[in-house]
Amino acid sequence: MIPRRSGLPALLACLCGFSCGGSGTSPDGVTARDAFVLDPLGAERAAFYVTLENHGPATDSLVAVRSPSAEHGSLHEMTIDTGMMRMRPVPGVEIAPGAVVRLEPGGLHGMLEGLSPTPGAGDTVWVTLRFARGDSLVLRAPVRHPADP
Amino acid sequence: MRPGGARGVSVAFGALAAVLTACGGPPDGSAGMSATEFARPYHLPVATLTDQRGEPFELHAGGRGKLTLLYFGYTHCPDICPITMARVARALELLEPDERAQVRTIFVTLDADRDDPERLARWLGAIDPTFIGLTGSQDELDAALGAFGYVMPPGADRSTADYEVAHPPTLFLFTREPLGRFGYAHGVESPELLAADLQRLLEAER
Repeated sequence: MIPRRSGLPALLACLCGFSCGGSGTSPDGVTARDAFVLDPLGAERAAFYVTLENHGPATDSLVAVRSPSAEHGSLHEMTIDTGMMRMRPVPGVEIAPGAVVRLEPGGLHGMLEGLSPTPGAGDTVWVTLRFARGDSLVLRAPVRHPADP
Repeated sequence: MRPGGARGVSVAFGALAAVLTACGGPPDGSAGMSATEFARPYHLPVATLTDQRGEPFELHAGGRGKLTLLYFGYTHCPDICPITMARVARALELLEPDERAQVRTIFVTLDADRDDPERLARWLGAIDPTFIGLTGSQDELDAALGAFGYVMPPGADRSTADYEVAHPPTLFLFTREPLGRFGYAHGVESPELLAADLQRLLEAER
């Protein structure tokens, strides 16, 4: 079951006392840290990465990535299929109690699509993470050049 | 369920097997390299593509006397393509100017629709403007990829704005002959190791 959350995620998150920075913790105990966006080098979509750790007693899942800078966002996984790198959408990223899950280059990533304007290295991008148990977490992710991911 | 026909699977696995079965190097400077040596070296594909200036570029005609790094990808690639190319750029920065002048880097897009010369020029300009970016018709690009034993998965849907493009993760390294003897199966994990490999080959072939 994925609870619906509507509108103003950043405002809600801040009003609820969530952290507004490169890291934060949801009320259900999921910590997000080391968030960053890869410089899309002029493309209108960019990958987002973060390390998630579940300090809570129950399994939670990252189910959505959104940004006011992007028209929409999604979660993807890179796989090797018949020798080729492929990218496929995933409905969510499960984080068991005590587990650390990394969204990192070559593995899982959030994709921010329809970016306008396209960010560049040195910029920061606001990103909202939504979790299956109903929490949202707002992060400010620095944009890094591909030479420094 | 994995997409891709039996032919594509067998051909691609053949290429992968060549990577995985590679062994140590002969006494020509390749011993101790971090790159994987292919059991059977590749030749540069016979293809006349278009570079990022809009000029024709004969992929098979050049490269003699230089080392060539060759990568297939696309500029909307989320991470592996830009990171690989950026790490190549970082590795080249570690070389002496005379060494660097003996290495050329080629990026062949597999995304004919979105990667026109202008887009390639902008993307590579943000990484290393000395890199050669090549595009062409999708058939030409797929054929160039085919020279390495890879087959584009059939049925790829490119009708949406944010379609993905399958591409090999391997960075190919051609010697001065030029022969594609080496590869980095997972892209460039360390610019320092790539730079050391390039120096080793340049020294051995001096």
